[in-house]
Amino acid sequence: MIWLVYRQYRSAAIWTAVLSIALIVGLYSMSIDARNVASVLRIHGCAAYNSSPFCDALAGRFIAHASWSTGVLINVLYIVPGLLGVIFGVSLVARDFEAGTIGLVWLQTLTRRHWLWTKVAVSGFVVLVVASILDVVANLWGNSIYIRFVSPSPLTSRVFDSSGVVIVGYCILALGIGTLLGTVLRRSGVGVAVGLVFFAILRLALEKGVRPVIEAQRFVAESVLPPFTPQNGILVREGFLPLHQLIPRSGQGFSITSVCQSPVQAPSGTIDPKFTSCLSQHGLHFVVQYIPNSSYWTAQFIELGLCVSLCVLAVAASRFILARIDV
Amino acid sequence: MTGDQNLHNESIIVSAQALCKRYGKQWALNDLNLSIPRGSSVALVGSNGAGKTTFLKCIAGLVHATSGSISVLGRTPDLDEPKHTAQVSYLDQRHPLYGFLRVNDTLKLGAELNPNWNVSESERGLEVFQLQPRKKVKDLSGGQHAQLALVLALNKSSQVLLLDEPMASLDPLARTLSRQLIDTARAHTSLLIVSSHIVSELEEMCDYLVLMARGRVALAGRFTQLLDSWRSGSLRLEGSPVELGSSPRGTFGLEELINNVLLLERTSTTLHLDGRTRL
Repeated sequence: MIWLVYRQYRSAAIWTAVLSIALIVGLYSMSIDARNVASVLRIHGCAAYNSSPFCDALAGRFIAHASWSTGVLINVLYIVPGLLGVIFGVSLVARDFEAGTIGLVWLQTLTRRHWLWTKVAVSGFVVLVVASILDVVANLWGNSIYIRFVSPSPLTSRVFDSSGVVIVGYCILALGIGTLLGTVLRRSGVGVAVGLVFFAILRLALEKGVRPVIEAQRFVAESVLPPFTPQNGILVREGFLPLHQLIPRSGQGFSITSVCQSPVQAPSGTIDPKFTSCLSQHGLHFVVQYIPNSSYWTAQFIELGLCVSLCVLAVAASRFILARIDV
Repeated sequence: MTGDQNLHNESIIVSAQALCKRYGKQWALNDLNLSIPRGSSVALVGSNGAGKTTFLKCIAGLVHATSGSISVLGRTPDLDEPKHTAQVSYLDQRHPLYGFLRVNDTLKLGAELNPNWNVSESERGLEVFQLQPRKKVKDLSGGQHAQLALVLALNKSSQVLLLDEPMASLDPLARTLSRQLIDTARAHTSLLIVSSHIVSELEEMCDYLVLMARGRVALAGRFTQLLDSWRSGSLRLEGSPVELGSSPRGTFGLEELINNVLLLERTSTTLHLDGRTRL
């Protein structure tokens, strides 16, 4: 059976390998471009997540010069695993239905369960190898630059999604969704289109609904307003701040500007002393909620586990449907 | 249960009881009852849409019954049961094969996935049809495609051999060669069912006739018995005699019988055919 699946996917695997090599070469050239810009700007001295005005300014210039290449890099890592997984997943079952060979193979001496899981395992292996290579290569060459100098934290959604082990997780999830839709729709073209939409929705649900729950969050009280970042978030010393709230003694939320004047930034980059003294006069402090960077890998592995579980569920659902299908 | 009854039950290879299959609003099989004993070679005939292919697929386990029951070798057909898949071989009328494989790879597929694969006969099949082993399946002609599919189906060495339109796209020589191969394979099987519209070939390959109409069995029995009944005027469907028609006396063959039954079935919208359902 493995031999048959290998023969069935041999040409697809070769094409995937050729395209992956082209993609890797492209990513490499773009990473050289980004590194050159970083080198010319001499921003390597800036530590990761350093929010000093000097480094912020350099990061701004870096973005201006290398945003295209780093943007492509991030987007490729964001899109390719899902695309690859859905295409392979849908064709797993739909191809045999379209060619009419489903009855032929099911009447050989192997069970449908064996047939399905062997196909998922073999094609999943191909997809995983490609996704892993892309992941490793892109993280080594380019993503690290992006994370260090452009993004305030690896926990920001775009960087989190295109780094670490979740790339592999999304690939597995896409494979499961593709397999299920290939079983239900039994048409490759429609299956891929619907599969991509499903995958995007599920990924958004993971990002917006599940990830905030699995990322351990901390709360600290700050007497002064933390500095703003270009990403519309707030940096604290060891993490990324998705939310901040001003709390008075009464415990009721209210507008800062109703009490103190707007926090005009001084030329040095620090907060206007008049503003901070106004806050202390009124006994105000900020409750800062942030996600510590240390939770990055925990969140990555939990999300990987979720993706694998959803894939297993999707394939099990395919198996359930296949057992009831007339050929 | 007596010993005789046990022996009798064991001799039934395929048994369908009130078998029904519906596709949407269309009933492909409608209260089909049929028992086929071991050692039979059955010609399955009927007009287009009579339910022949659906019935064969029910036996193979590729189609699930809407109601009623079917058993093959004493078991309900189940594609997740290797005991069933090992014992049933089915040739689809569209002859689906993997186009990306070569001819010899297709036989290798059969050998890899079937423990009882007949290597020597499969190789002989290629020689008989003069199929080039290194040729890609997608490059074969329609007829060659059918020949390779037949070789694949015949050499699984299963007890039940189901052939749906095995010769529809074959030239006269290939039909003769196919019949020879089917005859050889039949010696190792317990049951052969061939669905076809080419009655002359069915007569040569089979002993029994099952004529289907409107999703059920209209007529079933040995060729010779059915022909004798017809010629003597005692063959009736729902009380109506099956006419001898306008054929000259002496040429009342199986094809004329089938045509007359089908004509009778077609001209009556309410006719309930009550052919014998036990071969």
